[in-house]
Amino acid sequence: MPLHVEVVSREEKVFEEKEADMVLVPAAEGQMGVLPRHAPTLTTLGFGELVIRKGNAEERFAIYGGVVDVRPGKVVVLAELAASSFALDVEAAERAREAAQKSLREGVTDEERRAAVLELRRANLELQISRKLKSSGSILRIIKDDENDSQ
Amino acid sequence: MPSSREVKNRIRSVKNIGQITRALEAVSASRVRKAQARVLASRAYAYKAMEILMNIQAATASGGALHPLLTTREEVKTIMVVLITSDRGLAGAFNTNIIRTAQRFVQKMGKPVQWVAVGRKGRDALVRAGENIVAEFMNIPDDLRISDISPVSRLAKDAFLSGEVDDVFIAYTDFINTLTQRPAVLGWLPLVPHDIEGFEHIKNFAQVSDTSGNQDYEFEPNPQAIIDEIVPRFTELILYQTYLESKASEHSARMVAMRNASDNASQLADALTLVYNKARQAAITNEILDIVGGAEALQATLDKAAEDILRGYEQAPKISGISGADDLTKIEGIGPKMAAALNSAGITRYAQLAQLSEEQLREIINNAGMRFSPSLPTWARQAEFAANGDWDGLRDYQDKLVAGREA
Repeated sequence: MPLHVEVVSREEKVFEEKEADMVLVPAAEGQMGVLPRHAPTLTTLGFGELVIRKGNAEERFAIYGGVVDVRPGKVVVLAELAASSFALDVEAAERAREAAQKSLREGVTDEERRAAVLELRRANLELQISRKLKSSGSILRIIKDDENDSQ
Repeated sequence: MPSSREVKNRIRSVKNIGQITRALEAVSASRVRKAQARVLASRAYAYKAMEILMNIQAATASGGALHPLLTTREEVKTIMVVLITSDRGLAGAFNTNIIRTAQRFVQKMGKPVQWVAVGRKGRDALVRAGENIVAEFMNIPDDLRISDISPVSRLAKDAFLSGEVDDVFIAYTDFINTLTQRPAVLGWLPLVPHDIEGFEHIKNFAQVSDTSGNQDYEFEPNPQAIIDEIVPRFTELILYQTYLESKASEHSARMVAMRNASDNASQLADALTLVYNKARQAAITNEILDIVGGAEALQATLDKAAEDILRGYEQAPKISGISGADDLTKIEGIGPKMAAALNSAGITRYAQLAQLSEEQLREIINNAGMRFSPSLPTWARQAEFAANGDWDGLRDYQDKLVAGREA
């Protein structure tokens, strides 16, 4: 039984529905591996990396919260925000981290501090993913580059 | 008829306007496509979120609402209407339609209203109508992210949760296709289907297509957490989608309006070109008429002159054509006119004149309609000298005459 995967954010379809062998979901309660015939589950997402595996190819996304609907033959990820791990901008993340740390120190209102914390978590996640990706060498991707461009 | 220069200026300005409207049309056409693509892109999330919400409600089936944003108030005292219009005009009846629909809806509800104006045109209309505007949002970028409109949804959510208002509606324009946009009022908060009796424009968010998904779910960590995660986001998404629908409608309304304007401009330019050509041709015709009239007048003068010359030519033989005609003006008292008169009477020679009696001369002159000259009695005598070629004698005789008369 194949497992179909789809990743959507509120603003766009991040990953068009495709067949996969396995999905690693960054659930709020911890990393969750989904294989075909998984029991129907609804769970919230935390900050983390979503990994979709098909054969020896994979696709990775940085996820910042959301909900995932798991059914025996289908996984739908409703992501608050999702960015391909391969397209992360390390320098921008560094800058964002510094800016967030600065506003965390100097922030006046609770609102500002909350936003800074979120921003910091995001930047840290992106940097962490980028580092891991760099050390793991080349990865065969599910989405080909030309397919990416046409989207 | 206006002068051709005025018409020419008008043609130029009409053509300029046509160019502008054509450019606006092209811009709007591309924006319609973009806005539409974004509505479609966010629809997947909306359907899924709606489906999950229904699943959870079915699964928990406790009857009690799981989230304050899902709770219907028993008594609706005050309502809030978020009116989505455009910042700019030139979009046909787009803004008028939605404003009128929203106002009709409010009348129908008959409850105190807090208005939230999104877009300058709606704000202006509400201000003119003296409505109660609690907030206004303008200059929202065209390629908006959800975060661009989250202040609007935060405001509405806060007003609803604090109990300030009990029902929140969004008045927006549903994009059907490029030619059809339908003003609609959507029941937004609480996130349950609203049914307003007798108001045909009421809409409800994402009607779920896939209801087969009712499964026995495991909820991690629990249904409430999932609801808490989804409901606020879904709330925002509904506003985002209605805004995008309105954007797509605005641009397609503008596209159609601008296309009509371009068509009108080219028609007007054609009509004005016709007027211009008519004026130009009339001017040319007038000029030709002037020239022809002048030429005819000139022709008449020339004809008359030619006639005169010809007449003179006809008479000429009588004067000088007879060989040996004498110059009668040598006789003192005979001028060129008198000479011509005598010539006409057949008297061309001095000898003839010399033989004429005074009586005969008077008769000839009389017939010619001329006045007698006082020198008349001496003409015969003078002519006698001339006829004989005695010019010295003639001169001596003339010297003795005073004004042609014998002294």
